[in-house]
Amino acid sequence: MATKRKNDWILVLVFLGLGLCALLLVRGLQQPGAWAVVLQGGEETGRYPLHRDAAISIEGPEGYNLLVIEGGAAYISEADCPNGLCMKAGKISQGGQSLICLPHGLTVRIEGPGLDGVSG
Amino acid sequence: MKTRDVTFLGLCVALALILSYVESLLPPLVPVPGVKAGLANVVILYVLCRRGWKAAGAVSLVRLLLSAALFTGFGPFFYSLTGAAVSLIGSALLQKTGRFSPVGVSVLGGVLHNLGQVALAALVLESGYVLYYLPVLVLSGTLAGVLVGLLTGWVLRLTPPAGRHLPGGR
Ligand SMILES: [Zn+2]
Repeated sequence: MATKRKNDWILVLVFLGLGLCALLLVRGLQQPGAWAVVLQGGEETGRYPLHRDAAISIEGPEGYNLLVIEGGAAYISEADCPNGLCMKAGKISQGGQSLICLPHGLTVRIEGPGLDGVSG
Repeated sequence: MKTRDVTFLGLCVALALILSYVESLLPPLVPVPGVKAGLANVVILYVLCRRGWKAAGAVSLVRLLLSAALFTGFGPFFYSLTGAAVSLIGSALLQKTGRFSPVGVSVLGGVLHNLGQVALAALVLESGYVLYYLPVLVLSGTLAGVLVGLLTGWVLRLTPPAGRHLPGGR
């Protein structure tokens, strides 16, 4: 029983270690993005340059979100979704990061130029 | 298969269904799709420990089919199926070594479950973007695995194997 518990711990620590290393690696690979790409239900419905400040109202069948681009970063400032998680997600600016509003089927993703090697 | 076994596995399917439904009603812990505790896996792991991988696979498959038909539709079904299959194979092999408790078995299962889903998503969407979720999914799979493993260990201790002590006797 004791050795089983020890083996469990080793496994947990190995996975936590791998996960953290992978997290640092992904962070290291990230570069400032160029575009905020809006996807609704998986379809791209808009693409906005991060270098130009803007406020974009995104209407969908389930409700609306207000996407704000400010100083090279994007965030959701207003939304009428039930949980408001998309507003709590904060600001994103690095290639590959995304904001997700599950109830509205909305994804805002930061793209390129730093991601060209990674995206398929 | 005896009627008794069919009844037992049927009950397990029902329990797993209820647990996944209840979990879907709770607000997500983190705003990342695919990150959840997977309470239904307590049932699958329990069946794996008590009845072996075939029974666990059967319960898992029936549960996923019913869940897709009743709640989620067949869109997410193939993701769940891939995750569940990879997870069960890994868990069963690890359990066979006899060197890990349900916690270890379930941690490997949780991580593999997430990795399987991400791998399928990367193939289907033909996009490397999903790989950005990988670290988070490894970490969340590990933590979910610990939770599921502890719960399963607790349930296993509460219910002695059938045939030894039958509550109510027969
Ligand atoms: Zn939202």
